[in-house]
Amino acid sequence: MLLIKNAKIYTMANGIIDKGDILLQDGKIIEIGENINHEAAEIIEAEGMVALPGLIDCHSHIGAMNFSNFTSIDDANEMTNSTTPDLQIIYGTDPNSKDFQFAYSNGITTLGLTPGSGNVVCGLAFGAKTYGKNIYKMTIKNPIALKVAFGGNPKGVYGKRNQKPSTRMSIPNIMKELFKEAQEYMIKKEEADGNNDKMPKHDKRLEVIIPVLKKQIPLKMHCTQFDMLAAMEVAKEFNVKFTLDHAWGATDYIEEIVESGCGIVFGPIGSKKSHGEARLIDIESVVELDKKGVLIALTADAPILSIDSLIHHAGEAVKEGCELERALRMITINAAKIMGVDDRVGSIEVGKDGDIAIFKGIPAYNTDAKVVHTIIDGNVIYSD
Amino acid sequence: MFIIKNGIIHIGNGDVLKDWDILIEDGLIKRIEKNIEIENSKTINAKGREVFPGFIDPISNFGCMDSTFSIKDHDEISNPITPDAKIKYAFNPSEIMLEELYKVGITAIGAAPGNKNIIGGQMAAFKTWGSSSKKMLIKEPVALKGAVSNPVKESYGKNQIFPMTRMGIFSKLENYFYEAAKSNEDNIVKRVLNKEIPLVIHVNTSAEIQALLNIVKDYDLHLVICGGYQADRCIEEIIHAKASVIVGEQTYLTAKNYNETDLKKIADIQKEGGLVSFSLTGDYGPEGKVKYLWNAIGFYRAGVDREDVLKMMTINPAKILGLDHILGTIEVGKSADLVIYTNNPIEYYSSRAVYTFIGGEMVYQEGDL
Repeated sequence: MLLIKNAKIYTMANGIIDKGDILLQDGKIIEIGENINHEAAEIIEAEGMVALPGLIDCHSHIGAMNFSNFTSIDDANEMTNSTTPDLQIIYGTDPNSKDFQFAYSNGITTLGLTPGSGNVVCGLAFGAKTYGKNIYKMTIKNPIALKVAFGGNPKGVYGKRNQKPSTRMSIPNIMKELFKEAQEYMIKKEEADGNNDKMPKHDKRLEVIIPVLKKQIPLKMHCTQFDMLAAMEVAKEFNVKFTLDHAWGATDYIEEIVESGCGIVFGPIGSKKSHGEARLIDIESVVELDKKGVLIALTADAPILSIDSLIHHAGEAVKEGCELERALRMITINAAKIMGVDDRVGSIEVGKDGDIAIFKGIPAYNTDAKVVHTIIDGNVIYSD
Repeated sequence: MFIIKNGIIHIGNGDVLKDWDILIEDGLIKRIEKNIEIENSKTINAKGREVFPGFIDPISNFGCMDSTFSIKDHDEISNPITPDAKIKYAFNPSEIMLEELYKVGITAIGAAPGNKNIIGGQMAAFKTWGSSSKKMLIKEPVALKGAVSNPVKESYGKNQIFPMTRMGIFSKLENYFYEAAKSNEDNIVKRVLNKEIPLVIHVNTSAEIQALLNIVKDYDLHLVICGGYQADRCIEEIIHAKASVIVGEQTYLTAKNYNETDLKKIADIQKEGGLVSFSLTGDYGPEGKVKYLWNAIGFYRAGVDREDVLKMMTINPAKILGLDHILGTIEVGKSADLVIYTNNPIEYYSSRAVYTFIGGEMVYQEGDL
């Protein structure tokens, strides 16, 4: 039992509590209020400090990718076939990667871990806590989304081999053909109604697409600039839930995004401007999209950028005029909603997991805000 | 003619003046006084705002990459030793203008050959705004640039061309320096050995840094280590060699974290008289402008004093490039390269650049497109 005393609490559910206490038991938040006392509880005095729900980046590749001076690991892109829907990134994720430590020591407690974007249909993403030795025990939900990719990444991989897709022209068609096949498979299964003689032959590649078609999990669509329109067209045709991930250039498609009802996972920023996909890298777009009711999360795309730069992203949203609390939602509750794990994490509410980051200074406002304690499932797993 | 009124003026040398005015005329800082009043001059109210010397990125490839083509203009990959390659011939004003570095307050760069050659060529200093490379050029050459890090091996060794090993790289560098130094003919190495210009080498691991220091130990020169993610692991040797350090971009591919770079320890060589700066450029070229402040924040979070971080962005890179007589501080007689922020961007994310001046011209005003 753990009692956090006298913190300024950003609940991300019920506003800000200027000075309050949080009681954690059996891994869960059991009470939030003022002057909570419990004899049996270990106490964390947080006077003058800020308590946030553990931070979340819902688009990350850590544990499956590491490009450093010493090593080059990519277990997130199976670039031997442009459609690999049934590949699970959980099998490529090494919980011993130091990136997990960089995550929790910066207050990040949950990640959406996703395959890379080298394929058109890349595979299944999952949600996990950042602390542990066994990725299966760290997992909150698997799968959380089916990842697909538009634009230069799949084109660059297969085009160089004179294989499909070598252009943007064929990318949406590859997805549509696969989804149609899955639709027919799903209908046949439904028509068979449990009758083994009528059941189509089990096809795992199509099986994993059924939850997408049934709106149980979203498509996680890697796209930038005008590729967004192709992504929205595919999603609309199959009437599925989806997020646009990276979403550079969203400023030009505000109306379409609002109308589509999709979520946006914006980032990483900080690439040099160029032509084509890096024409416009506009984190300012999240301010307007947020005002128009679009669900926005931010991502550092780690380890492409270091996982702690997630907080820089929220800071940049603030620089562009986003209210601080709205920016913090983009790295907590909004990210949890996009992952479909907001029943467990993303806000400080009774009944949710005891994942709390206690900061000295306010992240995304004070540049030197530092984590004093990170708590996951009610346990202090990191102290500065 | 501009008067910037009542700003919080960060000189760049550690001093801060509150509510002073700056008179800009003929491209220069003409006066720094209280209550400057001159009729018919344009006035900028900077009350409560922070005025900084224009930031300098001492090692940059912006403008020099010809990014529309796969063959880049800053790496002459036909030979690992190309001392006579001059970056000034690769500098394209419209390409650097695409990144709008001046919008975050970067007003000058040390344009540099890339990291694929052992000796890549001669650096030049440019302003970040202007209509022609001639007008933007500040000085050249400002340094001899080379690299002994992974990109050299990747560039040549992967094609089974020399060098494919570190022993190849360092032996070649040692021989090149020996031959160039004893040559009777004039060459760029002579200018390095006269200390007219520094030797800037991209070098990351402590083993690489130690090998490099071993090669240059018999020469009297100003060595500048760039990249330097593991410079903290051989800090005493660096101080002994009176070398300077330009830390490479920290966030891309998680470079700082994977190297466990102790930024405070590197910054502390300033106390021993060394020069420390940082750059948007990592192993594989430059990152976008927003990361310039993230890298400043990296040092600030590591416990480096705010004004010391500012030195790394202004006077230190000016000294490294031999430009401190005209750039790097807000002092009378220097070029009017300034940036005005709403509040201190090293401390607060909410801080926004509102004006940038280069050579006395207002090149950016918030809200302008």
